[in-house]
Amino acid sequence: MKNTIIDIQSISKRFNKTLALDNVSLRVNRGDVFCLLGPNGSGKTTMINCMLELLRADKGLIKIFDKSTPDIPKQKIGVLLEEDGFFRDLSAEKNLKIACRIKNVDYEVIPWLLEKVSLFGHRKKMVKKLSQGMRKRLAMAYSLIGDPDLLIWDEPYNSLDPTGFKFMRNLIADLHQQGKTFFISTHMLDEVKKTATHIGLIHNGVFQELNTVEQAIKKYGSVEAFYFNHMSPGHSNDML
Amino acid sequence: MTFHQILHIEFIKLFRRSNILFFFLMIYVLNSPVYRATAAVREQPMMLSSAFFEIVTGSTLAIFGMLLLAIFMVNSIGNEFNEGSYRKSIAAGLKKSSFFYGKLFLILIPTLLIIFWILLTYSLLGIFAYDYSISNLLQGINIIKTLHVGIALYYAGLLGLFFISVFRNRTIGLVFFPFWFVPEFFLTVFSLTGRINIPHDFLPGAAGWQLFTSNGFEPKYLAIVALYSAICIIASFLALRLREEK
Repeated sequence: MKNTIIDIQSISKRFNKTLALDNVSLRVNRGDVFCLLGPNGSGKTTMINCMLELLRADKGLIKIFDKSTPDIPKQKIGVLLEEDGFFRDLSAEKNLKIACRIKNVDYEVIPWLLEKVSLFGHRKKMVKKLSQGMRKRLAMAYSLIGDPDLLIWDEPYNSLDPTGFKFMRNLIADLHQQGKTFFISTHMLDEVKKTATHIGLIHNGVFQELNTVEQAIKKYGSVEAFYFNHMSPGHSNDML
Repeated sequence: MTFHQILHIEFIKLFRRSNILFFFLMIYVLNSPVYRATAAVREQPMMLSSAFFEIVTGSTLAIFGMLLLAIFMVNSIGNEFNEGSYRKSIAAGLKKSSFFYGKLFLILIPTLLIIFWILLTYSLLGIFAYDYSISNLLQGINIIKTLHVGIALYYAGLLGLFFISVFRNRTIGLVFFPFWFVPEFFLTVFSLTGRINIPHDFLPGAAGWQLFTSNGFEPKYLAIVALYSAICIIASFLALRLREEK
């Protein structure tokens, strides 16, 4: 129990007539690279928004680092949202400075982080002048400010080119080796196979299954079969 | 989060290109006291410094200064909502209350800038056009009037904060304020001249305008503005606090 970093207990969230999350429970332990799979609109982002206190769950309990909402220690969490959310007419460096102030971290870390995501040469450029891939890498740097123990990344692979994918893969592996815990929402199954230790699946707001990648492959034959079996039970072979 | 951190964040954001462009626009608008002052110099070669100070802080500046403050707040905060940077900051750990306190500080900056500009215009033209001595200049400054101007400008900023926090729509805000303030000021002027009869004292924009343009201590307008300010602060805070960030 003491190794549990994220403990979600029976949360539900409704938007008007749509039940976005239906009694979802899951646990993520220290050092896991957990990937939450699911098609668009399945409830992945809603779950992340509830974890980050952007949304309030209608019922249930979310505990991160043993603290429940609204007292989740965000200083220990690195966040990457689906939309980059930068101040577009400020430089990359100034955006990171704002994050440093929010997390009460010294500016000294900024050059190192920009080097790490290969953006040091672009630090003075306004964010709106950066390419989508560059903004995604800047978002990764943003999420690493304060050396967080837990990284919550929503659709981090969107808008990456093949080099970006490789970069992301190496970064996750590197941080995983340092003992960081990941909660990643995605539907990029190829990347999941290469990076995740645990996978779970959500469909129509209902959490289907949590397993280690090895167990899922052993049980279903592949990550794709795991995914499509839950999407369309009994027809996974047709989908593959 | 400490007050120092909140100020530092707002200070970094202040130098956004959109804000800098807005400050330039502000300088254009602030030419109105310069114009009025130079016109006064042409018309009356001799004038007491106190009378000159009243001219510099005239009603044109009240309309445009207040309008500008409200629009500045709508534009500045609206940008943060539109581009998702507010949401990202909240997700990263910024408290909504800290964001709100930061905005209360932000209103102070253009408010002080306008007051500084008024005093600069008054001092430079006073020295070069009327040969006022420093003591003469200082005697001419109406402290109560200057405080009223500051409060009225800050109040206009609060109206902007209220609008954007509650409605979250920058475009509507940018259109709304000119169409709200200007007719209100006209109604007030018509009412003051007896052409129509409406309780103009209690209109939110006009109460600020009356405070801005009054030369003596005006407890009635101060009380009305304080009441509206309190409503704006409470409503904006609750709107930010209670709203979910989808």
